[in-house]
Amino acid sequence: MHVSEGIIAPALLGGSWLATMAGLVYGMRRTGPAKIPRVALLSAAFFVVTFVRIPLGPAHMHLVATGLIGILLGWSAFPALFVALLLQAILFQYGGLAVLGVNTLIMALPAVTVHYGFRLGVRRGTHARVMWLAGLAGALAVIGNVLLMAGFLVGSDPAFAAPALGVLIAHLPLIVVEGVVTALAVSFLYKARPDLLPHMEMVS
Amino acid sequence: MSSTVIELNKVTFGYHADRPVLQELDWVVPAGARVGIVGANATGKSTLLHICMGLRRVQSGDVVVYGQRRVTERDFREVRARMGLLFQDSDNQLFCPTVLDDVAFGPLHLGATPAAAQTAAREALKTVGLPGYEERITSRLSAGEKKCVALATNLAMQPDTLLLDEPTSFLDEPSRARLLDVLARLSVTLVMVSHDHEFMKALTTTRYCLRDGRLVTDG
Amino acid sequence: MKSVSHDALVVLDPRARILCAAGCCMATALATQPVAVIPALCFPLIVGVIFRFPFRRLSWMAVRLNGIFILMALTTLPFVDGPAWRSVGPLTITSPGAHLMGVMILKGNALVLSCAVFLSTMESASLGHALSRLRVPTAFVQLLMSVIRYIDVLLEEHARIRLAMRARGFCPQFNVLTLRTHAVAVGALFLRSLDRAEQVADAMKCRGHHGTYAATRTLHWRTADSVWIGTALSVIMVMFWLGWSV
Ligand SMILES: Nc1ncnc2c1ncn2[C@@H]1O[C@H](COP(=O)(O)OP(=O)(O)OP(=O)(O)O)[C@@H](O)[C@H]1O
Ligand SMILES: [Mg+2]
Repeated sequence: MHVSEGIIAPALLGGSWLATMAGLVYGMRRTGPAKIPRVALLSAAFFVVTFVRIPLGPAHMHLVATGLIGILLGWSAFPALFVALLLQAILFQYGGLAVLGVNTLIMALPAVTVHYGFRLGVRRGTHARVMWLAGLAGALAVIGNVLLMAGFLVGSDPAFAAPALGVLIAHLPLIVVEGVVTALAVSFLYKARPDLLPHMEMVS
Repeated sequence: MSSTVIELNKVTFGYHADRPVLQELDWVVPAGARVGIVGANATGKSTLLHICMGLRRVQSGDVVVYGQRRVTERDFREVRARMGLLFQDSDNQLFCPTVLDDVAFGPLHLGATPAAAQTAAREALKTVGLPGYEERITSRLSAGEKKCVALATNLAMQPDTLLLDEPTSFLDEPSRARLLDVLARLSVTLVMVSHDHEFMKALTTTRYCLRDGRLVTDG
Repeated sequence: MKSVSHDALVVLDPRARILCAAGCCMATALATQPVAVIPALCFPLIVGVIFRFPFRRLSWMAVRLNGIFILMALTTLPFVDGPAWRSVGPLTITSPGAHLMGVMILKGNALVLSCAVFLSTMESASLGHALSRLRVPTAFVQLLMSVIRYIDVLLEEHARIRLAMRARGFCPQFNVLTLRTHAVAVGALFLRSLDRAEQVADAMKCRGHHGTYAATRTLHWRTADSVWIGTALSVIMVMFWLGWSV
């Protein structure tokens, strides 16, 4: 899920770069040197997972995994997603350098948001509850991603309302798929290593 | 300098409280010794080496390294500057994209200048028989080459003790012979975990077997 | 990751390549007139031709990008009000609409082209070295370098997980079972990544790292680098001049 180069208005590009830089600085500060490998490996995992194709009738779609990244990383999702998007822009020309700020915000803001939601809800978590919350987080993260993307399009030029609506509709199935995949993946992690999930230490 | 490098007293450790891996384990490695450890899979050989480097904290017992009881992260920093560990999985040990960055990382973080670190790195690569590999991309090396580069990352830090976790896995016959030669010529305290009996016999004088959480002397 | 086929651009210092790309992208992104973008489109093309850039690898990207633009144009143009410019069949294209689309298509292609020509054939490791020499904080550079290092490892790991699943009779379709299997693969990949991260942190500790990172490399800036930076700057200036004067 990327915005292509050339579409977004200059003011929005600049503003997003500034906001992304702020998020990066804060995210790096929250990360701390001992956690760099964790952020790096999850960033690489995000890079790999977004390659996964899920067949959908004659077409296919790609996972985005922002919910999962958000749950596991919190504010560190900013540097993790930024680096992965930077490499995708350079190596495969997905997105691009100028819209990198926009694409990072689209991905990272919902990720950070669902992290705090998940943490709040999971305090007294049973397995079933963790799974439901994770599913919700995965779906909401995609909804956030898509809404931000549509917002950026319309914000660039009101004439882009129709393509923005198209983006919203095209991503409806992904919301469900991401919800299910995030729920099951987090359930997998919960069974294998509950200590890796945020705020799980006090539960298990 | 003290005459023992590693001394473990009644060390107990487990990843889960109900499943201890090491139980009241006693072990002494004198300086200059060449020690081999064998044992079945999942008996805790790698764990034992990690404990000596301070990567895992024991639940009870004393870990004495270089004559001092070590407990905190800070205690172990000095240990890690002098003791090298060759990881079982080289992919975890080599975390930089190019070989030179990886091998120079250790000396650089011990305070060497970039130029000195690069020289040390080139030397170490020559020692393990991989001169000219400086600009190679780590992830595109073969498993055997990775193992040798991982050894070079240790040698570049000029350790006086080497802990080797399965050094010969993935090595072909010539690489294995070269490794044997390199290790035989080093004047370091050597602790080796391996399933390669011949290799072990050629290099070590004392051998232990890890069984039921303890070390027992092996023939 | 695809392995990099070297082009003649390796003679340039990676810092010069990054600065050229960043400068061109910034100037292009700020342009508001179609003519102002034309130099930004030509400059990477000329550089690419001179240094024998493998343009063929961009064909798929070009198709995809311009496909998106065509979709955007079809869904946007009917809704832009203004004086008519041309009419194509039943559709009347207004001149603000044409301007909007022209800027979008030119800018999009120019931006992707300059990023691709200057950066895509660079060995990723050089990107890290150059950024650290450009005073990007070393912790961030270490993060970038580790991601570059482990993408290949995780791609392989993911392929192994999928292979193991296929060996047990999994074949992708669109149903709940497929979704479950994908989820398990994703979970397994993340679990292994997290496990590996712990061991990588251990490996860093073993090599004397306790919090600060040191930059490793020294790079060599040559006259040619200054020349190319100068050229890029002139192109950017021409773009601004065009943008203002039209
Ligand atoms: N990070 C970890 N978290 C939880 N359990 C672990 C972890 N690392 C190892 N274990 C468990 O501890 C036990 C000992 O593992 P260890 O890796 O030390 O065995 P080993 O003797 O080196 O085996 P091998 O010969 O296969 O290398 C195993 O049962 C393993 O499952
Ligand atoms: Mg082991």
